[in-house]
Amino acid sequence: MKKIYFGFLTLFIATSTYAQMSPSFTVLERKLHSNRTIYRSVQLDDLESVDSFDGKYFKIVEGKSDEAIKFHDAKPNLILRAASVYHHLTLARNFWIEKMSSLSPINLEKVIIRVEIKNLYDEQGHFAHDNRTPQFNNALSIPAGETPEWVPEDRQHAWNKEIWFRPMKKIESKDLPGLGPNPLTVSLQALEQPFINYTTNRFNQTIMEHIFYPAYSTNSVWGDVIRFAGTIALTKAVIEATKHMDNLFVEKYYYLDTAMVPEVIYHEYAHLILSDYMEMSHSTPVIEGMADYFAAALTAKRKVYAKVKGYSNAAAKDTESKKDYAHWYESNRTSTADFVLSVLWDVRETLGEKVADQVVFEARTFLTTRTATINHHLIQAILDACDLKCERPRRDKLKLYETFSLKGF
Amino acid sequence: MRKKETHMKKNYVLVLLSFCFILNANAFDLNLFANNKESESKSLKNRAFKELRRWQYNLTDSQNLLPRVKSSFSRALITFKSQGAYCDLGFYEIVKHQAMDDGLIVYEYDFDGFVTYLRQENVIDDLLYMNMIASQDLSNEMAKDAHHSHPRIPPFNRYTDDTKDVDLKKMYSNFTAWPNERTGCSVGLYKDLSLSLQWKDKKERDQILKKLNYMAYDNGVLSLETFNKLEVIRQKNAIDWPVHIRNYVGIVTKAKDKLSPSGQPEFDPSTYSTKYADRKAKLTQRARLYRNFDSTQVMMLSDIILKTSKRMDSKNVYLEFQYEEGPDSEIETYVLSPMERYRVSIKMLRKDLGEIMRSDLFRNTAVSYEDLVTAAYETGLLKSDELELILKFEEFWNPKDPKWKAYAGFAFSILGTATFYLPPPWNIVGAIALIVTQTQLNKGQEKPDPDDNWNVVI
Repeated sequence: MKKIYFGFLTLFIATSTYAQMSPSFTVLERKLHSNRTIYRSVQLDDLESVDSFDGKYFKIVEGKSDEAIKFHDAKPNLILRAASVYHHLTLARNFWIEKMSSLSPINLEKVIIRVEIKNLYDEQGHFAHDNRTPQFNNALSIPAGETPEWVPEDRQHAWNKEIWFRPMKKIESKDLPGLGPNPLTVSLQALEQPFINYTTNRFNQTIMEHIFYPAYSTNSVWGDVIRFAGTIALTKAVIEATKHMDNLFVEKYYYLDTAMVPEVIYHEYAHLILSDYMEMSHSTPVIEGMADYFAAALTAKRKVYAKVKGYSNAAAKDTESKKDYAHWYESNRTSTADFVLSVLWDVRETLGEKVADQVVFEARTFLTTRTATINHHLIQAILDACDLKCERPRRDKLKLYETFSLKGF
Repeated sequence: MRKKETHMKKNYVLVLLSFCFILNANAFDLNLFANNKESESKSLKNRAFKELRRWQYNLTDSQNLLPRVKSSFSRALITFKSQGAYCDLGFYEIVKHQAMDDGLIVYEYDFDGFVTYLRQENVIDDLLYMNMIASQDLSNEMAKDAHHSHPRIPPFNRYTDDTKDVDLKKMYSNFTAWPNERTGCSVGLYKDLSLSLQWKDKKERDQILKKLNYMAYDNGVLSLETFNKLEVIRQKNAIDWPVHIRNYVGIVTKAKDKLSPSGQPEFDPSTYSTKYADRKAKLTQRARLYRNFDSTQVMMLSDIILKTSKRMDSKNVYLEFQYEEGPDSEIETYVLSPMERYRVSIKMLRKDLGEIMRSDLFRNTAVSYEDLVTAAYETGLLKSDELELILKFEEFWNPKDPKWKAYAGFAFSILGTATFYLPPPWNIVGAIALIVTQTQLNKGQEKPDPDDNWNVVI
């Protein structure tokens, strides 16, 4: 009997010692009440492996590999990324279980997290060929899938839901697609034509005065010609000059290491949780806005995705953005804008943190189509979800109507 | 023998049950009279509390006071319900005598204190409290003046166009003998008499009534006692009381809390109901509702809010354009967004309000949006925390645009034109400054105007 007790004691001590000895890693975190980042040493929870980032719920791999990244990998930056991703995913999972009371994280199978992966996602083959446009500076969550039957048996392959973090790459801002002219140029271009029309008319009038009423003309003809031509030339020159002032509005380079921005990690994990209703293969303003909301709820900071020195100079999204609704926010091109986030954040301020989180989460059950719009479907989904989750639905819906009205809907 | 005893016991139980049933059917629900709507009392003054203390001091037994008071009031309600007419003075008398029988009022002058206690403990609300206090005051005054030996100073110029052709015998036929306050109400009958006359305002009505009363007395239609009593009713403005017991009982039994989700009165007092709707007359929103409308009207007003609520919650709202006549005509359908549906519902609420004011039932009655909200609150359809939100609806059709904004709009229109005529290149600088300033002004918590928003149809 004594031997059995001794055995248990030894096992207990050994387990405790192992738990105490679970390795510490440096991870990147935001400071508590600020967007500034710090490096902190933390112990990673629920690791199953003793030498790699293979845990009970997450496995961090590099690129297309199936092997978890080793603790002693030769690339120190890779270990920092893997540890940060693992750490923040654990925080995100805890948030969904503890604060949102969601069962989805518990039901999820172990999620493969790929860092430094450049391949495009292929619905039929998992990874697109390496030669196809390599991807940088973003992250995505992919749905579970499998190769079609016609694929040869040796290449048959199935995969679960995964999160992919692309490598960072410095790109000149001017090369970014869809950036367009800067706001100053746009403003001046809008005024250009009316102004030139006015100047031309004034010029014609002056010439007529020179011809028919020369006695009333104080200036010489050539003087007026030079003055009006000079005005038009100056206008053109000013507009042209503003085209080279992009630096005033954007930085010269753009780069984003998604694995090193905590909110991006929360955002991608939110996609996994929301994917029971909202498809992950589509990036729409509604789907992205919902994921942004939970990333922001987790960080509890006004601005999310703020700059991280050396890893991201992307513009932050403002939860309290004052933008009013406009049709163009429905376009998928604006799925990275912060409009939907600000709408949902207003819901949070209206209903209170606890209720709003549940309402927004419940709203996903009414947003099953990939064509869901903000103006019709998202607003309706929030109202319908309020019917189910609000403390006093009729009163709270009246508050919501008021809130949406202030947002220009 | 045992069988017979059991049978008799059964009979007793049946008789007891029947008695309880009859008693219950003949009683008003005490909860309906209880205050569950007013968060504060606008009528309890310092004097009332003095009366309350005196009443408590005079009580011989103050054990289990509240249950005893409630029970006494409940019994008074049973007696009151069994009567043919619901009279102000009759109700006051019944409550007083019941309390005296129950040993809750020792001296008659303690009635004030007793009623104050009822109000303080929310057994009754402000409206009933005011009615009972005013009834007592009127009754005392009438008793004092009834046997006054001389009529007051006769009015001058009695025979005017308004009075000379009046058939006094017919007009005062209800007052040949003083009405019994349990079958016919003196105040109510005198109010009916006043309504049969034509007058511009209350002041004119008062002058006509004064002349007619005297003429009726002078011609022997009224006895001196009746004349004196009618003069007290007139001078005490009893016909203009905010709440008369007949209408009060009607609203309380047929409309109050009838639309609450549970169908039962719930304790949900609000500050809105005790807000003054008319400061001069010291009429609260609730008092105004009870004065101007009856139970049917209150239900109809409340129904407008109910309909608006249903419209807001409707699943689909369409705008359909049929270009031509006939079944094959091309049809364009526009689906309203949730917010458009919300705005349409509010705009239709305004339309419904206008329509109800034009209806026969509301003829000559001005209905305000506040009345509508108060009615919905009274029927239990709206809860106190919804009132502020619902009241904001009015801003949709009565926008409170600050004056500075109107001035700013005017200044910008002038400035905009002036800037355009500045010599080049300064005009372009002015235009940019103007755009920037306007953008700044449009920011903030200001609600975007749907009329200026091309993203929405309604």
